Amino acid sequence: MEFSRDRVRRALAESQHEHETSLPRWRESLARAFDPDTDATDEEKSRLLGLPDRRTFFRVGGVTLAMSAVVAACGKSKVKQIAQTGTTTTTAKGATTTSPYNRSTDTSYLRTAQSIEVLAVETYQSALDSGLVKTASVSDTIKLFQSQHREHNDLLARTVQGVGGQPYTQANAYLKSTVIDAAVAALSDERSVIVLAQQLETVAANTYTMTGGVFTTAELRQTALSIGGTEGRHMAALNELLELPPVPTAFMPTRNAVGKKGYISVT
Amino acid sequence: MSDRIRRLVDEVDEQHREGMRTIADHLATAHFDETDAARAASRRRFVRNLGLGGAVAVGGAVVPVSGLVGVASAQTTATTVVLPASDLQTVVFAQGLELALVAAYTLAVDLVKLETKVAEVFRLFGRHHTEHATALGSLAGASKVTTPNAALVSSLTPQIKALTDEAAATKFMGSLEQGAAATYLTALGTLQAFESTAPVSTILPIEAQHATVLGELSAQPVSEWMPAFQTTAGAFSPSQYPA
Repeated sequence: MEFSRDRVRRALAESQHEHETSLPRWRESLARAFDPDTDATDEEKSRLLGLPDRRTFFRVGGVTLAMSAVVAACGKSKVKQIAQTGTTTTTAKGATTTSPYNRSTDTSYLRTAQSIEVLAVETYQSALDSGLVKTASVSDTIKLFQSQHREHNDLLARTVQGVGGQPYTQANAYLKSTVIDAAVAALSDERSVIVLAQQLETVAANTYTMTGGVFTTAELRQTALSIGGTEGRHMAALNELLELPPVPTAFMPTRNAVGKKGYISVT
Repeated sequence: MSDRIRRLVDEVDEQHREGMRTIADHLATAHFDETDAARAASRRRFVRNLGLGGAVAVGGAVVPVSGLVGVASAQTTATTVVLPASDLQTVVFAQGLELALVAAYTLAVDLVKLETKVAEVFRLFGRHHTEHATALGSLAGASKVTTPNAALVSSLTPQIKALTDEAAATKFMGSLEQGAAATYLTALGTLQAFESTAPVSTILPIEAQHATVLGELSAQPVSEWMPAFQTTAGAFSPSQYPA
């Protein structure tokens, strides 16, 4: 895999200015529109994402729709996520410490993570099979990321077994049916493939970041972020390929983590 | 000052201001996203504590929640949370590390002849570390530090002064970012409170992204900057660099 240094540098310079002029307001608009407490309709959200002067990031053919669906499928939900029992305790000092262990919660998160990894592997394969990827460096990038997602899934499967659970072997059905299938069908060129990959990696990285705050054991939090760090790296590399700021924020968000409808139960 | 330089300075400042505006949002999301039962419970506990006059601060850091949590602070002027002592130690160490990284970037920009665009990357990443330090300082409360980790700065300064060119500087800063990401992964093995693990989990991937960008810029092997897993190898340790 090889990225052009000149391209990276050009992208950094150009994107800084673009970032300054558009991203803060754009982010605020998105936050307002997708805040679960607002009354924005799906149509309004889609219109916001498809504004003609927004970044090309959101304007790659059918991927505009895909991005809208990703955001709608992920992020905040008004309904609580999977049931958790006894996951928090209050210390005498007032801090909210993680519980000693909650098998069902942790296993569900692990299996959900597996489902995302499988989805990524399958989606990347669809992208490779589409014939739309023409550039060797892009093809190499996708193949590397795909192989790393396989490794992630293998680690997660062992971890699930380690906590006495049954590894999950299917792609995340919710994300697949609501987002990915349509997005893959709408792929039109190499750039649209990269955009889809970037969105997948964003969901993955946001999800692992979120689990770092909810897994009930330190070992599982380490496992999650040993993967989440790499998903963040994938995001940065794909941002570079798209000539976007490779590291656009100082903190990894969690708002695009997979939502409750995408959770995989323990059994 | 040329227009180009002025614009770059403005951009960095805007980045910083934007970051400062969103820190509370990021941390509020990390701490109290209502989609997560555990964190929602944490938020409810914060709110409940308000009626009890706030948490009792014994043996740990008193955190001014008004600076951290938009949701909770919207309902009152301030309350507090106390981290376990071991978490506090880790958070303070991490804050000193972040400030040392800020100093390292500043020194590198000052001493090494860098292309404008590379210098811009260094400044941006330095700003990110400033924001991390600010967030961690908020967590550390009264125990926060205001100066970089002295032992680490002492170690890094001669190494940075010895950097001869841009490639060496980019490679070196990339190694520091790798170390920072490894440090946070190590920290996740000991942190106990959600108030600590959540923000650390939002910082680690950013250090990893920095390492990727700098590794690629310095033409390091792909395996160096795009590993399948983040590891704890090369982590900065409090025993080596006492806070």
